Amino acid sequence: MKTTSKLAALCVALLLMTAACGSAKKSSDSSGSAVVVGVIGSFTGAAAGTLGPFQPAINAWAKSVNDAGGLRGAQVKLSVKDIGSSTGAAGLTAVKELIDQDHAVAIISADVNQQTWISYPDSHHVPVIVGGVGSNAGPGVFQTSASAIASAYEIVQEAKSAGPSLGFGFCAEVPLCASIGNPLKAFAKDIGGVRVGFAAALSSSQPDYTAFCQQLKDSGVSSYYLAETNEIIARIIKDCAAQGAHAVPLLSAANGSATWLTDPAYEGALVSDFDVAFFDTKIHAVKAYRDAIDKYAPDISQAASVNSTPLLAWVAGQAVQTAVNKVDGPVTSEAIEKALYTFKDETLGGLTAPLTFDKSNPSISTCLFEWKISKGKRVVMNGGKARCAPQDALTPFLPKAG
Amino acid sequence: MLPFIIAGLTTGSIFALAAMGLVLTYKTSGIFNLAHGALATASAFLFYFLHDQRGMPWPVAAFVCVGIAGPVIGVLLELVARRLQGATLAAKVLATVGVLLVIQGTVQVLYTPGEDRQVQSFLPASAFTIWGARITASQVVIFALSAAAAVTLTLFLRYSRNGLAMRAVVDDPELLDVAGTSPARVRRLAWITGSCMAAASGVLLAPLLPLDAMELTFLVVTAFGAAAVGAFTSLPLTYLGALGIGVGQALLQKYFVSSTGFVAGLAPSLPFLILFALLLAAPRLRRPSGDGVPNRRPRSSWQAPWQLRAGASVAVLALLVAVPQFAGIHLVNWTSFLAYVVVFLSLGLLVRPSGQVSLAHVSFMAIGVAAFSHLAVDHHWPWLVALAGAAVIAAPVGALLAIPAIRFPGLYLALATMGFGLVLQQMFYREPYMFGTSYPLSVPRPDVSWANLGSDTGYYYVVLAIVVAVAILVAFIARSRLGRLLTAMSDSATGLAASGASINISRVLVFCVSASLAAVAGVLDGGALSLAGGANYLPFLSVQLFAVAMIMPGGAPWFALLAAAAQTLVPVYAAQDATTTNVSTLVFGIVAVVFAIKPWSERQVPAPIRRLLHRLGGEEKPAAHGPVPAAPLEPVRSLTRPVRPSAAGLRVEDVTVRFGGLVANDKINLEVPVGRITGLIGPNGAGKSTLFNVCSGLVRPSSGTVWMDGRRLDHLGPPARARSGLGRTFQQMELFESLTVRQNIAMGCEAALAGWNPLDHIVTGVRQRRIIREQTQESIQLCGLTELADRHVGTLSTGWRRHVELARCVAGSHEVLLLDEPSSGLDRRETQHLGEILGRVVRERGVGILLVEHDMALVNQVCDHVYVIDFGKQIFDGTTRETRASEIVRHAYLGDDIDVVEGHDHVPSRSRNDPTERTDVMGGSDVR
Repeated sequence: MKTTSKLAALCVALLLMTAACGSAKKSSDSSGSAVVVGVIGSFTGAAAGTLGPFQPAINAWAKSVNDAGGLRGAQVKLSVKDIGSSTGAAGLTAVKELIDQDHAVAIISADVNQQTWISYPDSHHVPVIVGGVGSNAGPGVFQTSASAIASAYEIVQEAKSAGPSLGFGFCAEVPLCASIGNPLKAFAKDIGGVRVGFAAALSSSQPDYTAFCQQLKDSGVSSYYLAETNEIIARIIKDCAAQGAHAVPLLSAANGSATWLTDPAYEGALVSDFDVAFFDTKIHAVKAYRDAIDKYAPDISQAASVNSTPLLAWVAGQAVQTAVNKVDGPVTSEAIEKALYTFKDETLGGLTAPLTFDKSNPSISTCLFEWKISKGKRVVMNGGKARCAPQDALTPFLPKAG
Repeated sequence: MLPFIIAGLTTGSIFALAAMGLVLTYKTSGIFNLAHGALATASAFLFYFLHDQRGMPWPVAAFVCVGIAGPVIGVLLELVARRLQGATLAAKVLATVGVLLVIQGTVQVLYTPGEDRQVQSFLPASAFTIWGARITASQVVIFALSAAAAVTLTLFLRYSRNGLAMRAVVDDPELLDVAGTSPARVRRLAWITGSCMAAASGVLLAPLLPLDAMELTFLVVTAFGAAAVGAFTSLPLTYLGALGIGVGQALLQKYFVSSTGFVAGLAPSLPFLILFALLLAAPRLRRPSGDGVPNRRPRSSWQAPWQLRAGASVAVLALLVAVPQFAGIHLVNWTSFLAYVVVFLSLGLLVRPSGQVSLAHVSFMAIGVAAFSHLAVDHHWPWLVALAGAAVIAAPVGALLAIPAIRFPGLYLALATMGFGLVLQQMFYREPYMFGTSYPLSVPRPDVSWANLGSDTGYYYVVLAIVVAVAILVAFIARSRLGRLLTAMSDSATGLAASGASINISRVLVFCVSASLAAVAGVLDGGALSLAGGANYLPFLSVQLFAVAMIMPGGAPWFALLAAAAQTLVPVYAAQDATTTNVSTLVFGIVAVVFAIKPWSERQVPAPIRRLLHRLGGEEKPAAHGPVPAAPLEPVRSLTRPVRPSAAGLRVEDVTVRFGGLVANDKINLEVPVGRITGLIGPNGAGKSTLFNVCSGLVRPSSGTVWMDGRRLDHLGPPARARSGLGRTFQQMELFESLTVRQNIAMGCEAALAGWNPLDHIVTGVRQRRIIREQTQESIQLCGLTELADRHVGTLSTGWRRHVELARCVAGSHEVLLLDEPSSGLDRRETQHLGEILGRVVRERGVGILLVEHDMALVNQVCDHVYVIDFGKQIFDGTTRETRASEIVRHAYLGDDIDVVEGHDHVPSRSRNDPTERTDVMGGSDVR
């Protein structure tokens, strides 16, 4: 039942998850004068609501790079594999095509099921740049936007700033949705001063969320976080506000919509962002990103103005570009991977928190940005600086290598 | 608590609308519309299009959805339903699944899934407070609308002419037709009404949920639980059931809102938990109109010549062995294909030979792969042992699911399996003993020192070897006693039970085997990726698998190969984008509907192709069969031990049967001693067949006792009674249509040998084979069927089919045979031949016969003693001569007017509704 919602929920859940890891080795060469970059993701189907803008955004990145002369003089050629709602071997097949047929030198992943194929690029020495969706960590896997498990830590920090207790709702259909529950509790204990008041399974087939909203009121939690689809998050926030619940919603910028600024139910909401605030066009890199989207992907201009998903794609592309520019010699997958491992406090021009990729540690970003909604406006918090989770706190929740 | 009750009443009211529509169409047509939710989906999207996208005022948009689109869809559905009258359950399920896919595919082609769509609330948003609970005007409107619909519909059915016709079509569509009201028109009205109600529920649900075709479609399955509360017939109870489920779900959410264990899934699972409970506890569920007349169309038993099949097997195997040479990057997909061959073989065991419907096979896969992972990874069991463990774990789950199959086979089993899949997902997928909540489960591949079985190629060959083993196992089962029992059960469960086989044992066994094989398939498929998560085992996939398995031609393993290829390889090799996928869904739905409504004859391999294949196989074209004249009876060397002359035979003591207010049998007493033929005569509707059903255990009497050879049979079911020595034939013949004459007759003996012991359902010993062979041959000769022995019963005339049913009964080791109008459909000569056979059976086997007959010449020819019943009362018993002479019989039963029809004597056939009606008149020289 509910294929679509489950998969969509899975997508959201994976934003909050860590998963398996791989190992980096050498890779094939690029084909001809073009640098082939593979892109894989669930851009249509159930996850389209969340990931739909990812593909046009990465296309916009490629066009902007090529218009600017390409990567070290070679045109970027994207090979995009949209695996829709497939949950089986489709992802693995697509990755095999990218590596064996298209000779991709790097893969940008927005696949919520990337754990089904992540070992294949590893065995073929092709680096995988995870664009903020999913959070497989390990050699050969490079997260360019904040790790999902780090976002759980950030949620707890935000919850602490909102009050002493946190409510948590998660999609009932997909087991992974519930997986953030334990990290939240553990981080609350680590951080102190905040506790998880309750956790509730939410069925996407519920036409009514009275029980959850009433629980919000009865438990007296000061904030709540929902691991659910965009639509259900919006519905619950609206329902609960109508029923008089006053807890502060804790949101992810990847779920953003224009309603956030117009609906009073969102007033005071705290938002965690995987990258720098997408609306902060005072930052040169953000301005360049938004201009490129307006120019090369006008269809998602609106989405890019309210939601951080296109920026996740852009940042992943920027990471590839930065790595290629660091390559000394032929642009091979192995060379790109090597270049990625030279990243040290790399912010990609200010788009991300400092990225440091080190073979001895999982290549994840532990830092998130925060902003809030106040009087119908987005307000950057912490002075626009990212807040980082201690690596030690995250380690128990990262998958074992292998 | 009040806010929860209010919320529950609101959602319950919407489900009530859908559920009442569902029940109305089911009870009038016999078709349980699994696409009912899809109708609501279509309506919701249409409303979205009209109101939110085109700006149409909501009342107009709602009217278009409910008042125009609803009736149009209703008319279309009735056209489909009309073609399904008398179809098998599987065909009906397939058709409605097809409709579901058509609607879903269409909606998804028009509206790409995944994009955010929200129908704005259109009902008044104002709210007021009662006892601290906030109630919105929209909630009041929804409740009032639903209640008004329930009351109106109930009154309509009770008091309006069309409503009465709808109720009448449930009870007796033929009578309604005779009375001048077209059942088709009445059913069309029901479909229109039902569709309108589904459309209304869709419009009301639209603003409450994200607009998602799959979500809305399956949300309405909540209506199934409500329909079960109403026993699938009562609209008021269905309405109350829906409200109860709505409130129950709201309260469960309240009390378990903080629960993260399996109880958190209680609320969404509630409708199916109620359904399960009712299937386990409900005394009886009534069959709807259109479901009562079993389909007797013979299934195709044609097979290509063995040379071709053997050649094709070798070719396919060679191709599969060569796959790693050409599959390239798709090798994993081919491994998955092989795993799905096992899935379809396991599903085929249920769907094909035994005609059962399982909509939970993906759930068995999930159980298998989860169990395997825990055993192999957590407990370090060796790969093969863990695989066997997974199969063993799934078996009792299959047995558990088979319980509803025992009590209520058919549709209720289908619903139970569908519900099982949903409950498993909602309540148990998250549990640590299944998929847990963290990372996907690891599904290791075999690891041996002497071969690289962990590589993609190595693992492919491991899976191929297992597939071959499973195919051999399935072929063995098909040829085993269990296979024969399942085939016979599919043709006539009643006939099989009356022959002595405990069919529930067969049902449970095949469910266990099927579940185990599906579990194995789950492991093999999981091993392809070495990972498995709950998202890979969505319950809807089971519905899809069932539809694919139904459509694919050929027997095992051919259909499984084709189905698995369609399921796994076609999507890989065909260009797949979202639009193609959605169009494929739409096209597949159309194919499913067309296949389901196609006449059976058109589903078989066309005759020219058969001829071609036979020529290719070097076989002669099968000879056409002409009519077979009754041959003189051959002498028989009786091998069967004759019945003891001292056996007491059958005794019926004070049997009374009431159906509601109707007394079908009123204190009937009769004795059927061995060694003679006893007649039981009376007009149609006198209660003769009911008495037979009481004797054979198909009907439980209100009072009275049935004795067999001095032993009370009251507590025994039909199979046990058959094994106690009571055989029977049926007025509406219960033959195994897809079997030959010899196989039918053999089953008369073998069914009793299968008995209740599960082992005996699988294994046939040498001694038993000899017994079956000898008794079958003896019975064939006794009944003069030697020339027809290898013909399929479906090709025989009615008269010879009657002989076959008699021979099947004779082949059993029975002391008393209950023969229900064995001469019906026979001409004069055939009847005389039958009389000779009956006399010979009694003489040589020493059995007793209780003969229900309208042909008085036959009665006079063979009976020693006759009982006469009328309107359920026993009005006379005596010798044939005494019966003929009885004024009571002549006056009360035979009537004063006696005509002769070509020397063929018949007792009157009289309608229960008109005691004076004489549709046929008795006569004959003996009577006069």
